[in-house]
Amino acid sequence: MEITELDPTFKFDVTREPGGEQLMRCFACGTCTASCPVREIDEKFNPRRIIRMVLLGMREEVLSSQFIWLCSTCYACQERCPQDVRITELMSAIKNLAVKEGHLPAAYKMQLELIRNMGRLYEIDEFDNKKRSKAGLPELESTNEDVKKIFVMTGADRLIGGEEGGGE
Amino acid sequence: MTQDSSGSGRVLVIGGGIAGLTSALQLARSGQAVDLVERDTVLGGHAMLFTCKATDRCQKCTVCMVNDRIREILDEPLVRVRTGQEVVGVERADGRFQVRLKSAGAPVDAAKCIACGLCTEECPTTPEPSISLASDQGMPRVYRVSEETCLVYLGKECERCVAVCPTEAIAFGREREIAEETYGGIIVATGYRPFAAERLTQYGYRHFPDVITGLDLEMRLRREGRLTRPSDGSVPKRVAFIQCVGSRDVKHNRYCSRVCCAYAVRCANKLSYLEPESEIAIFYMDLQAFGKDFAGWRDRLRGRVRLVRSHPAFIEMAPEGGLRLAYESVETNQIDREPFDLIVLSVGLCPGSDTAGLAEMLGIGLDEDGFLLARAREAGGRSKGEGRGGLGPDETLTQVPGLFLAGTCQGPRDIAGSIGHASAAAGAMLHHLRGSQLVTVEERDDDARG
Amino acid sequence: MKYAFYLGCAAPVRGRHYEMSTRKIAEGLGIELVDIPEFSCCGFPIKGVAHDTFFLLSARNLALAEKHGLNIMTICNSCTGVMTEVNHELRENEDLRKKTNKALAELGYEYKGNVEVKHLIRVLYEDVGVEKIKEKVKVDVAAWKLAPHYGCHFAKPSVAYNRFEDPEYPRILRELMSAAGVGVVDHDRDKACCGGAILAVDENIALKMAGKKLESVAGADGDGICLHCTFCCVMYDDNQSKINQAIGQEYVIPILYYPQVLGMAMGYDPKDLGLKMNRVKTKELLARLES
Repeated sequence: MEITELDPTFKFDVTREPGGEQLMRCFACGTCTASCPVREIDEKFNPRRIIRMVLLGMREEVLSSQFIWLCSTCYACQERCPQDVRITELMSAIKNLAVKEGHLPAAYKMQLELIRNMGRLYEIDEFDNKKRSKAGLPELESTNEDVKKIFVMTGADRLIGGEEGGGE
Repeated sequence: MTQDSSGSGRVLVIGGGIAGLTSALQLARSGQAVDLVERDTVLGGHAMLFTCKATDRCQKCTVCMVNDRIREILDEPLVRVRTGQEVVGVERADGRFQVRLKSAGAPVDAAKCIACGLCTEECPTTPEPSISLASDQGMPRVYRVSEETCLVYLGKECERCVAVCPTEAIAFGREREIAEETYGGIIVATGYRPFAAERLTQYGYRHFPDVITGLDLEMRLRREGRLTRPSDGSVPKRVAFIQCVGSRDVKHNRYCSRVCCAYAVRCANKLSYLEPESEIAIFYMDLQAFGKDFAGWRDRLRGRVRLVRSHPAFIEMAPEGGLRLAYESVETNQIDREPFDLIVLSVGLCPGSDTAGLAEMLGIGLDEDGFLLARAREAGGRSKGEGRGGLGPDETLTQVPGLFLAGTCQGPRDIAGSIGHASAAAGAMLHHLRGSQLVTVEERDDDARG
Repeated sequence: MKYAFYLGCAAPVRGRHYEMSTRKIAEGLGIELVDIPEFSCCGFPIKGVAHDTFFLLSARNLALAEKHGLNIMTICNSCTGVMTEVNHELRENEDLRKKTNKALAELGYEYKGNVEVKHLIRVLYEDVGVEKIKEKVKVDVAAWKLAPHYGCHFAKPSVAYNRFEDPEYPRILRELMSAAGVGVVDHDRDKACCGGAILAVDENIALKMAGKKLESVAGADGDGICLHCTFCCVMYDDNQSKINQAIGQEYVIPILYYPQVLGMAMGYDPKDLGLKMNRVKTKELLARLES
């Protein structure tokens, strides 16, 4: 790629996101990648390489990629990183930035909708509550107004098209 | 003894490692009387545990210099060696130091012991006798009693060694005597503590017997002359070194310890010489090549020792047995879990465990990494700042006039670096003493004549 | 021992056996659990896409528990992890706490930082204690040789957890398993991640990650896996047939929640511990205890 395509401000934008604070400490030792259970299965996810790409300014390649969504948040890398880069949190920072720049994967859009509409990831309907009663468990509510307010306050409702609905 | 034993004109050197030995020797050679205090029963410090790394030729590891220095110190009439003692109090008044020294109360009197070995033969404990030579190559050659196994310490009747000793050097229940001395200056040379490798639990040190530290490797090589595995005594065919264990690690020590690359490369070279068939790999982040000929060592390893740029993630036991090292080769992007017979953790240098207490007693500070704080020489009335960051490698001054630092108590350095630093400290001390009224040239000359 | 019982999203729907067995042993061990219907999702699933939203969801749950004057007991590792992390940050960072409280005030809450978040396993280990658990054991379950699975978020990030457990050498679950009298099977993938967090993103990778664990447990001749995370259980139990497809195996490895194991040892009826609700059938294991 051409050097003119690199964005030197990319690393600062990542650093500003919560969790991205320690990005620039990385000295590329590879501890993260060798710890990573996802990399073990598929080489398209390589945390050391992702960090290098961010530091080099490969904004589009990183933010529009599939691979940034592959971190399983196991924290193996973060625990062992000698520079305390807090890699798991850094991956979260990169993903949040990707979302801000319009790259929200469908799977997460659906999860946002579910949580906004019901206050929880899995719907509890009457049938579920019946099963719970039968097992001697207390019934649970299937919606949460505070959660809806939090989505409005933080702007997350805009990621899923504003007002309630579209949970399918 | 050529000097007045009240000691007001003497200099105290605290620590009998390579730095303390050097400072004491340099001072003595300039005519200055010195007390050298060492907490242990033998001199030499950590460097006495290291192995000579010569192959068919000298690798200039300078370990042998320690033995030479000890011999010279023991022959030096101006140096009074006080092993088995430690400094427990320091007061400064009128430019002098009132120092309280406490003896460890060891049963064997180093001044009387002739190292004949009769006590060891007589000792009834098994499998190991409880009284034996403190260090096989350490000096002075003196015997030491193990408090863990000795019957007397266990509250039983024995003292057979006391009876057999021809020089009456052994006595149990000795008072821990306190001595007070006055000194014209102090050189602190209390050394370092190796990084505790068990803190990086992902490497399983003390969990896997065949994961050892660089210091363990040195001691095994020194003792046995070759390398064997702690687990089964076999000679390892595949050996890995992991660099920067606890160093350049913001969760532990953020600084480079400056010695590990050199000792790992020299040990790898030695292992490859001893066992030419063995496969040796060094996992490094970047080799810190201090010293003018170090880069050359790297070239000489080519073809015999594999250099892998990577900081390994963890060590695990393979289901079929044997150690596996998980790492990513940063040059090829490949990850691997490679089997090894023995893995050496190249641990770095930390401030000694009692450094904070020592600093308080001496009235000097600690730098941000916990080493004793040196003060920059003021140039043109402007201070260059404190700590190790802005200092030259030879900085030995402290906030307290007459108190100087030598060796690794002030920051990581290798043997040659410690010798240089300790020589500089001796020079700074002479400079300081000349400015004080304690010892005049006439007096010293008189003394020497007397 | 009184806790606000935080169920999380998955347990009430996909892990009722976990919830049932937890309530059962809690009763038997004198842990009083208080249900708070207003608890919401902890925010873990959306941490990577809407950080502030996730953060406020966790903060609100903490504030809710504080309002009740109770500490939180969780049963899912992921909920435990993020709520511990948010709690840690709110306690350490005064600015952040002020900002958060400004937002919480709009919902009628305030969080002062007085709540502890503890996973059931930690409550058992630290509050009840291994000795008391041993005293409660009535049935010999030594015929079961189970492989411990700790899960990632139980003790990591270790800084947020004040390192109560070394993530490289976890021991709490093992000690609790031994206290219940069950055999502990060593296997080389005991710390491995289940892959659950990326199941929705790349099913193939997630299943293969989980497959590594099953291979390792099978290789060590484990009768099953003993775990304490709803997320991990959904992965290994509900998705075991899919995992088998992905890695070309036919493993039948029962996945038991620790409170189910302890409940059996304490002599409860398997029905009350939801042992019929485990997806991979536990019949054979149960039969072994009867013989």
